[in-house]
Formats: sequence, structure tokens, C-alpha cells
Amino acid sequence: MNADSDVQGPGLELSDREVMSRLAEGDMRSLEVIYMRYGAMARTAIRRTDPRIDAADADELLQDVFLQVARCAARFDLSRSLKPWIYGIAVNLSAGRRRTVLSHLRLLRKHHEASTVLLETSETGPHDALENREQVDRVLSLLPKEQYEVMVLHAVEGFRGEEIAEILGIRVNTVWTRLHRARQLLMDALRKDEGASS
Amino acid sequence: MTECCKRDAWMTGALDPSTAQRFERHLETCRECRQHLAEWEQVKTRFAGWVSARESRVPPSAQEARALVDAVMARMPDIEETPSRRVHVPHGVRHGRLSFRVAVAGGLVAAALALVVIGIALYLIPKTGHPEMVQKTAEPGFAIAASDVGPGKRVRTRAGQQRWMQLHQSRVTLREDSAALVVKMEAQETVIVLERGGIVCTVEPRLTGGVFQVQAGDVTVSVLGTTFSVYRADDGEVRVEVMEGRVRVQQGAREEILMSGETLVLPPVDDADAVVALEPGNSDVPDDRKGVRRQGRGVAVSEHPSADLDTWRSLIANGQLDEAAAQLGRYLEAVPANARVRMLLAGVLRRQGRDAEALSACETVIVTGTAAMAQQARYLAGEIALMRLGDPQRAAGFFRAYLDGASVDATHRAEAEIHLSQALYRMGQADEARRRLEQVAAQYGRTPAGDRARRMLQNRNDTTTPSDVD
Repeated sequence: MNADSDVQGPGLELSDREVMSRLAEGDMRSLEVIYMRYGAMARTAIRRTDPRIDAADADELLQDVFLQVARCAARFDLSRSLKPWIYGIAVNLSAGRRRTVLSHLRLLRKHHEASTVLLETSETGPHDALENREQVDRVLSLLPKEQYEVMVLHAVEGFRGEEIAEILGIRVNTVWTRLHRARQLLMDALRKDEGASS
Repeated sequence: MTECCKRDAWMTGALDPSTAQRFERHLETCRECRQHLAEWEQVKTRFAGWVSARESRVPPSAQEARALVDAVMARMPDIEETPSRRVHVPHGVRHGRLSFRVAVAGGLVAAALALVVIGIALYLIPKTGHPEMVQKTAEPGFAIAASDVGPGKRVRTRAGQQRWMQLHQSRVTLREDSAALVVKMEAQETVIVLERGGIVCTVEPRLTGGVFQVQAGDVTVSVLGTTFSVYRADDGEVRVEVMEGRVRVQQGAREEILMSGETLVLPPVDDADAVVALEPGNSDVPDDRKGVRRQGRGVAVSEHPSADLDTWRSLIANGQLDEAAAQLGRYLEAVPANARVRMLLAGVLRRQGRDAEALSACETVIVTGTAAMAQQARYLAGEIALMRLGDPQRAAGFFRAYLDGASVDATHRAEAEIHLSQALYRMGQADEARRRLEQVAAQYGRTPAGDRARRMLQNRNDTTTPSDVD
């Protein structure tokens, strides 16, 4: 029984809109299709939002994400894109959990100084974990967290400006500004590195 | 605003269609904008490459998708808080005997029955009436989120659906059309009221540290680490099946020893004096008792073969792999969810070179087995994917999950890190691979694992061949 052998199950040929429409009518098999399409993305979103999350908690959050997808399917506006919607749910749930963890750690910190390690690391952006590496790490670490975030959503996930705005709950103009600044920082840094190495 | 000013908005898709069209016409004639956008594309591509190289994104399998969806389905209408039945759980871990209790409370029967369960495997019992036969299905059931499991939470399953939950080191599977209320959930003591249907509990023998006992009302079952299931029929009859090990059943002055592969049916009783105690292992079960059908009040006949682990291990040790695989396969046809036996089969299949089948067996164990067994399966699956099937991406997924999982000792952690690094090298993610190896080399010093990591790093520095990873 190879897990991949039955990937081509019914529904995989359908568009996101058709699949969501079926899910809204109560066809839970459609949720499998949605999960197979966007499960890995949602897991990545969770890990990006909370890099310190362990596997069990990530699994649990992933269930929460798709539970919300199933619960809200009937109200989902089929003219919207599914991918950023799911990404947004993952980010929001993960951020909510992280806030809970952080507030708990802050409380602990008052009483136990030893509990601050996770707090300190969790406050930083995902790229901070890459410090002290080579050129790439140096360049990435130049980006403030907000700019890194929109760059990931745009360059890696391929979301449009308005989708990023929706995911992060910010205005489209803000997305645009952050991308612009990120681009400048990255291009300057790359030029500098290339100049130094030539 | 000139057209050139719109290029950043265009590249983020922020322009409305007609403005975007105008800008695209401008782009055909403006060299500066084209160069700007080309540079931007380059930056984006490089950035995406850097980020992607640091993230592992493995699409879920169909099996995982089904598992998730069933868990989601199960949580939609059925999970509910029952504050009135919430039980206060004191802080701190109770010392002494590890206790696991399943209270079986049935419909109109006021007195609850309780049974003791030890076990490793899952198997199916028909949902109503006397379970005449064990259903043959490999359906492993689906996970219930940890947030939905706790004191005062009730979990239900519908017809055709089974679900499992992890309670500390034990795994509890709720059979189809069943309902259970988690009353107590502590490291050393777990109490579940089985309101209807069936339940299978799996406990790692090495973690129990003593008798694993279930007591409530009429029946008590003690678990030491084997396979044991409890089913409460609508009429109050309780059925106990032993898949591995040995069980002592006491009901008043009467005592029955239940062997591996045998089934005990307890008629409804009002007296609170029945005790079922399970003893570990089956190596001490006399041959003439194995699989023997016994008749008598309260004792029914086994419907499934016993898990003859000693014989199978002996076959494997003697190199009789074909015979071992055949016997293990036959057993798993009857008892498909015995994760321990399936793990044994995975090892045999691997030695036979039936790598895809071995990997598939591991995947099933990852879903059906206890936490510790799932960890073994992840490790073996990772090795098979990496070394036999040449699928580094899949291998990396297994090893990452293994390293994220519980109970990883130092030696296996180092080995898994090394295997993961090999997979990463093959995937072209040399930076992460190197980083992991450097950590192993630093952390494990002059141990075999540390030396191996250093050797791999040295080899990587000495050669430009990407496949040379060890």
C-alpha cells in the first residue's frame, strides 16, 4: 500500500472553486483534496510564524486550520482565491498560539529566569535563526521581519499584493512599501557582495 | 505620476487591469523599467531559492489527507465540553503504580463495568451485539487533536469511523459508533468512561513500570504491556480479547486464565467483584495452551490467531525470511492493526529487498503504532527511502519527523542527523546538511557518530562530487 499510489483520487482534477463548492455542500472528501493541495503550504506557514513549534503542536494546528476551512466553507466567497485564504488562517492560528506561548513565558520569566531562552528566540524573525552563516544569511538578516514576511509571501508563495494584505491584515499600500524597501535592501546588499567578491 | 512610478505597484499586482495594461504598453518602450523589473525578478528568484532551501515542504500523502480529514470531521459536530462532569485533576504526578482505567458505562445499566487493557495493536470489533468475528480491515483510524482530549471532554465516533488519541505514553483508539468521556488524564493515571461501543488501549510495556490496572464497578483489568481490547455491548455484556500476553480474569471466587489469541465474554453482572489481570509477554504460555479453544461459562473462543512473536523472531534469526514474511502476512490479514507485528514484517521485507512494501508497512505503523513504535517506523522508513529507494526528499521528511518526535536517545539522534544530512546533500541543500554535521561533530566529540560526521564534512571539502556524502 503505497501512500502515493492513490493520490490520484476523485476530485484532484477539479478547480479550487469546484472543490470548495463541494465542500460547502458537505462533501468532506473535498477537504482531502484541499489538504493535499495546500497542507504542505499551511504547515510551512505555521513553521514560519512560529519557528520553535514542535511537530505535535504543528500537527494539531494544521488540524485546526482545516477544521476552520471546513467550518467556513459554506460562507467562503468562491470568487476569492483559496490559497491565500488558507495561508492566512494558518498564520492567524499560529500567531495566536504563539502569543499564548509568549505570554505564558513572560509570566514564567517573572518567576524563573531560566525560562527566558525560548522567549528570546521566539521574539525574533524566522531569518534570525540563520545568523552567523555565509553571505545568504548576512543578506537575509538585513531584512526587518515585516519586510522578510512580505518577501516570503510574494517571492516564495507567489501571492499578489492584495492577497498579502489580506493575509497579514495590512493595507495594500503597506505591502507595496515593504516590498519596495526589501527590494532596495536586497539589491544593495547583493551589489555590495558582488563588488567585494570581484 | 509617470508610468515608471507604477512599476513597483505593477510587480506586486496592485494595479487595476486597465492601469496594468497601460503600464505593460509603457514597458515595451522603457528600457529602464525593463531593467529594473529584470533585476527585481533576479532578486526574487534568488530570495525564493534561499528561503526554499531552508524549508522542507513535503506534500501530504493520500493516507495523511484521509487521516486529517477524518480528524476534522470528527471534531466538527461531536466534540463537546461537559463541564458538569468535569473532574478536578490535582497537580503533580502521583507516585506509585501506574494506573490506566477504562470504565465501561452502558446505556441502561446503572453499574459501570471496568476493564483493564494492555496492548500494542488495534483491531476491530463489530459495533453491536455479540461480536462474532473480528473485522478484517487495515483502517488505522484518525487522530483526535490533543486540544480536544482532556478531563471533561467527550469524544464520539460515528458508524464506520474510528479515532485515536494520545494520552501521555498510551494510545487509546475509540472504535466505531462509540462514545467515551475522558475523566482523568495524568502521567501516572488515566481514567476513561466508555459510554458505549469499544475501545482499545495501547501501552508501552517499558513505560508502565508496574501493573497497569483498570478498575471500575464490576470488572478490573490490569495491564503490563500487551494487546487487549474491551467492548461493551448494548445489553451490558463485555467482551475482552487478548492478542498478546496472558490475562487472569477473576469474577468472585472464579478465575480464568486467558491466553494470547483467546476471547473472554463476560455476561452482565451486578456484583462488583470481577477482576481481569493481564500479564506480560506470551513466551511463558505453554505450547499446549496456545490458541486452544476452551469452552465454559464466560469464556468464548478466539477468532484470530495468536501473535507468535517468539516463533517469528526465531525464523528471522535463522534467515528463514520467506517463511517469516508469509506467517507475519497471514497474521496481519486477520489482525491488520497490530503495529508491533507489522513493524516486524517491515524489517523482514527490508531484508528481503522488498523496499517499497517495507516502507509502506512503516507508514502504516507510523499511523497505527504507539509513539515509540511510530518513532522506530520513521527511522526505518527514512533509512529505506534514503538508502534503498534513493528518495532523499521522502527520507528527509521521515528523519525530520523522527528528530521532532519524542524519546530520541542521543545515539539515534546523532545517526538520524547524519542520515538527514545525507538526504539534504542529495537534495542540494548543502548548507543545512553541513550545519547539522558540524553540530553533530561538535556535540558528539570523539564518539563514532562525531567521527563519522567529521569524516563526512572532510569528504565534502575534499571532493566536488555531490553524491559523495559519506
